[in-house]
Amino acid sequence: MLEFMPSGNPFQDPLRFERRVPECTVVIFGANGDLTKRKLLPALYRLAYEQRLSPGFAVVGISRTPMTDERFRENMRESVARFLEDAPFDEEVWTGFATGLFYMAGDVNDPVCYQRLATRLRAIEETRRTGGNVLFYLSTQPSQYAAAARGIGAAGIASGNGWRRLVVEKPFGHDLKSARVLSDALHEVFDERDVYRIDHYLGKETVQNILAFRFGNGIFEPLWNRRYINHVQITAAESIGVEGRGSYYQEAGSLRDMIQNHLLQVMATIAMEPSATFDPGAVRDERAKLLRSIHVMKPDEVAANAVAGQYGASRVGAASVLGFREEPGVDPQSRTDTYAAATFFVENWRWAGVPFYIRTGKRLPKRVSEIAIHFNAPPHDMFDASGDGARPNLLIVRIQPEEGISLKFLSKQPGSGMKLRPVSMDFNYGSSFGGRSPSAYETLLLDAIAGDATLYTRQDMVEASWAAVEPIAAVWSEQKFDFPNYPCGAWGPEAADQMLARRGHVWRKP
Amino acid sequence: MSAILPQKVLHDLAGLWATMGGHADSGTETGASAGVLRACTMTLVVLLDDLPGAEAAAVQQRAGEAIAMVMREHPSRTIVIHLRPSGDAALEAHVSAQCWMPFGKSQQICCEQIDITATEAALSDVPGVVLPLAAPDLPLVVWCRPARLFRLPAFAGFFPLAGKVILDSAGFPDTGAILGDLATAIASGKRVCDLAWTRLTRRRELIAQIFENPVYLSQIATVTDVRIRCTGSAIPVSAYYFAAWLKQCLESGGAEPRLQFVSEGGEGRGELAVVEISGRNHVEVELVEGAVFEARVDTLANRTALPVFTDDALLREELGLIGHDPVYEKTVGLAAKLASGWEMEFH
Repeated sequence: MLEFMPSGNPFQDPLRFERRVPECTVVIFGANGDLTKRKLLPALYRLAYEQRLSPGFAVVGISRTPMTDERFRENMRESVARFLEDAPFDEEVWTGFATGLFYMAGDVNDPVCYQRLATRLRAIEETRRTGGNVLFYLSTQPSQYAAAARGIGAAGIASGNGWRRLVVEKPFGHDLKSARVLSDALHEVFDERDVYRIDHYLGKETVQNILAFRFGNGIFEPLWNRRYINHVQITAAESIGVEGRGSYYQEAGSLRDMIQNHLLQVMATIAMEPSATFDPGAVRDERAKLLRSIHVMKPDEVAANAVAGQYGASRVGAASVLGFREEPGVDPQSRTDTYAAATFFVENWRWAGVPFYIRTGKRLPKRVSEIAIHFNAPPHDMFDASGDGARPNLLIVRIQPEEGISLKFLSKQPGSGMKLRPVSMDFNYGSSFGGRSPSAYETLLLDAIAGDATLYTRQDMVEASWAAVEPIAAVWSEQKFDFPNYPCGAWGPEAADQMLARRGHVWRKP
Repeated sequence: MSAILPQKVLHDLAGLWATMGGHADSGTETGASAGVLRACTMTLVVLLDDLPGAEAAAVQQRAGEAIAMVMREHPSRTIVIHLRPSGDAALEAHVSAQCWMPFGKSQQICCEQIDITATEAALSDVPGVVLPLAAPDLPLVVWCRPARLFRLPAFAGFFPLAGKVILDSAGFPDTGAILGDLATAIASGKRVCDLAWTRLTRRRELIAQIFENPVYLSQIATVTDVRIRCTGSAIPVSAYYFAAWLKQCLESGGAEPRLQFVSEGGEGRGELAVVEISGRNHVEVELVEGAVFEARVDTLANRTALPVFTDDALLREELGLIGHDPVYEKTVGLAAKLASGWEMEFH
């Protein structure tokens, strides 16, 4: 099924050995950017530290800044030492890893850059014995994706002795039409099976664990439908603001930046049908089917089912916090949503009538991402419970921080009489598995090198997600909002509470 | 062993949790206890020598530290059997909890521990005490720290209880005998593992990784010679394991290699120093210093710092593998044959 462990290698011991990947060169366009420094190189170094990479592994960084290989190595060393999470920096491992780091100054719009890259890749293939395998990673401005793909194609390096794959960071377009245009441009050069659209949320251990939890256990799946589940709440809250990304963020907004990709993918993972196998194609087929089953709102349904918000200046604790419109690089009249909430329905037998509430925002009270599955209350309340005792069962999948799963249920309070009290049964990743969890980028990079696209987004999934959010974006683009409509440190605008109250529901406060 | 009443031990355990729960506060939003979280994924039975003297005390202490570390990844009900060489057969048990506070968290994680003191003469009675104390519905693993106990007839009583028996043959003086016993146990369907084999995982992985390259993989059948270079006065058990594993892997890849053990000199218990695989390509994996290995393929060299082989690291790996281990089970038989002098050249 996957390429990472050829059955022909008699030395493999799958029970004990970590997953291994073939030799390859990773070409990073945008090698001087923040993503490379903060995420990609620390993740690759960490994979090297854990011996997940092959000895001949190589990286070619490309950006406009002139730099020698040595200078690039020194810069990356500083970045890795600084941004490495939950792991020590080992000088000896770095020394070995750095011998495989190379740099080329070049402009993605200049054909000469790709000719030079071709020469460099041939040399690396020879000296590092990479077998000609190349992973191109576009960590540039999205507007340069098409040019980079075409440049790779024109230079004849989209194919070679080994496999060639392309990793693309979000956003995958800014609406359905532009997503298709981008996709067409990538497909001029790469087959869809070789395009890896990265969504780092899907690389998180807890999101992957949703599949294990749902389909590895027999007791939950029978309850996983409209008969037992009342509604689902998906929350991705940030306590910080735009943190210097104001100019980017005001073009995107939370609906496009979070819901269209990360949170609809999470929803698809929670709600998808089981696939027959864990084959990447089969899993992604089911995710895509779910996304296509999301009810596409009509314009007159948007007001009741979607809420936009923008944070205003306020005091949090003892500190004054700027409103979005006061942030550097942000238009003082900006209409960008820093908060978005929406109610989605899935039109299939399993989920008909079950609301999926999704919310995300900046400057909310805390940083938390979770999925809360609210089960139906018992059909008859024999204990005459009221107040706390009336709370229905709740299953919470915590994505970050404190990754884990909690089940809330009622228990008899000790003592005479039948007083019920909610209690929590907790599974905590950190305490149950003492080992360090890999970062999302470690997981996803390793998967891409191994040819495992299970956690990557496919074009039909991108299009289905855009189809779900585009009507909301279209209505909002015509609407005049009374922004700001929530203060920093609050759980969003009141309208979001009202959206749930219409169906008798209340947002959970994580 | 009649002095130990399992019901009383279990009652003491329940009392321990009640006491710890009483110390917990109840400040969460739901009123759920925030104090301690009880965790248990298996029963781990640890057999330890309870000998007088500083050296024996240090061994016990290291084992205790390993148990504490292992619990964080494999929370378990741990039953530690302290075996005295002689003494009163009327023995005792007491219960305690091992707790830790994960970094940045407000809730302690706790595992329960039962310590039982027994004489070696009463070893055959111990399984009968362990059985009712084991956590229900969970695997039971026996870590037989002194490898010599594994060879005692009384140890046989643990096999029906144990999903897995772990021992460490590295320090056992008669390499051939212990490998023979391991091979016999496995041939009869028992699940046994050897930490001396576990220590080789990362080094085996380095070899496997080299042959992930299709160029080298396609040349396996050309391998003609395998040289295992060791330090010390005798061939260590790790060398037999590695040689057996390499020979089997290479043969399944179509090679018919000659196997040589080469002494690099030195006194006392030695270790596996260098592995050489020669054919159309020349592959070497050498222990350079500490836990740093250098893998060389023809002219290409790469250094890797492997994790230090602590008892807890080795145990964690083994406790993560409850079930058959086909590669080890296939290897141990050949390793035992090599140790008995079968088809071996030693220079």
